[in-house]
Amino acid sequence: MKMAIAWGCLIPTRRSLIGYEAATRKILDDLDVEIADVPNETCCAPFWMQSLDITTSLAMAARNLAKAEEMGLDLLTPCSGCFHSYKRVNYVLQNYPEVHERIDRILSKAGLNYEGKVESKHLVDFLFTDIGLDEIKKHISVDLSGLEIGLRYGCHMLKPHELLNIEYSERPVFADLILELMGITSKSYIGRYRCCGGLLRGIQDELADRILHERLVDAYNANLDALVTVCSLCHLQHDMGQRIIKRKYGMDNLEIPVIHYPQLLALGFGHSPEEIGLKYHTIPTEKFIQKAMKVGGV
Amino acid sequence: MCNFARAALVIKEKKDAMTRELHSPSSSFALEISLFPNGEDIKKCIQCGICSATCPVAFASNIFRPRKLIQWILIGKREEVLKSDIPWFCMTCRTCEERCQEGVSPAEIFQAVRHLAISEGYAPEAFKKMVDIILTDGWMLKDAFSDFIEDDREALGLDRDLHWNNEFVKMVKKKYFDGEE
Ligand code: SF4
Ligand code: SF4
Repeated sequence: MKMAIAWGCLIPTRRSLIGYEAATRKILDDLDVEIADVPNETCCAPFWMQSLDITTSLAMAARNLAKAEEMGLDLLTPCSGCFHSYKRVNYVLQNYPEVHERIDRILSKAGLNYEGKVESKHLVDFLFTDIGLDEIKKHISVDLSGLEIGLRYGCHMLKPHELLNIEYSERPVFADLILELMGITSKSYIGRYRCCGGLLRGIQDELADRILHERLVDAYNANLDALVTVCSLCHLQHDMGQRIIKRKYGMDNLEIPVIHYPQLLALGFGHSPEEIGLKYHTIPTEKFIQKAMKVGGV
Repeated sequence: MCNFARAALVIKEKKDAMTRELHSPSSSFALEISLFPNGEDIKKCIQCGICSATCPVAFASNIFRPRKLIQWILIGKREEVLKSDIPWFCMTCRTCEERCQEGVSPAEIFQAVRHLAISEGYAPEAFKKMVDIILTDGWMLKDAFSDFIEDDREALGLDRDLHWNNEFVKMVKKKYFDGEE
């Protein structure tokens, strides 16, 4: 199987996120999925960017889709924000012909054309829907039974589910099912589905802190070996933001490692912690790695 | 057909009938919003408040309430809404949209509100700065991407160079802040 891939701006550029890219490349390779980077990726104009001017912002996302279409491939992305932008392009093209025309005009000025044929897929949904549990299971060489984690799906991979063509989001399980193949216990705890406040960073910091504080108290009380995040913003918020919360709210014992979803899978596939950049996270991951090694017998 | 299936059908018909029942926008501001993609759904809002009860921002803040913001639009408080920073509290998580029983997307409505606010010069500074960076560099994090991270990438066996560029945004840049054509 071959897919085009757009990484988004955060994953390849943040120290604590490059492990996301490394692990994703490893597991896709193991699963025999060939990937081709979208050449000269452009900002997907996510979230608030879209309020600037819907035509132009969607044209920016459509630019990457047009490149994938040129390659004759569907588009994979590990970034929940990008995923949302790409899905929205196809939806608006289909439902609002006037906007479609305006987007076409912008693209054609850049010598591009997008017919709307590319299906965009979020990495985690792709693993579940297109690769499937049976296939993934064949690649698991390390049993991680005994690890207890808190999985955070984040918001933008899930909502609204009709637009994103994904499992109904109130209590999704698809990402848990994959982790359970490795024997991992994905704990159910209060707040695991709730928003992290990440998008308020830089705009309403006080509010972003208050929401994150709540999430971290939830996670702390759940007694987890690690938080596992799908969304890159969710990771920045929980990993880098944890330091802020620790100081601001005097939570001295707060030290929850935050692992990227594909990193956990890569460990299960037998990759070493060094290969997948676990040392670059803000909150040290050693304790988590030691436990994983112990239960995995590596 | 079994009872269960029949009941499901009746519920579906009722729901369809309900979502077809549109209210006419009660203010020219609401009408203006209803012209944006998905903004038309504002006509379906029954002011039930599920969105406010659902919203993670409303939970943590005492000034942001999506239902109330929609109400201000419905009754035509155009100036107040466009000048206010409240529409910028919405993180577009779309939890409200998922739960709204009437098929309204407060997130898309606020997107339209912010668009109008921007075109009339009320965009918050942080937002203007972010847009300027993206439309100059082609992406948000060119400045943050340092040699150190290039080294770390190399150590992980990843390509040092990211190949992002501003070719495409150079072309669209002038369109921004001028509104749509
Ligand atoms: S947007 Fe939906 S949930 Fe919110 S008040 Fe209106 S009808 Fe209710
Ligand atoms: S989309 Fe906006 S208004 Fe709706 S729940 Fe999320 S933050 Fe609140």
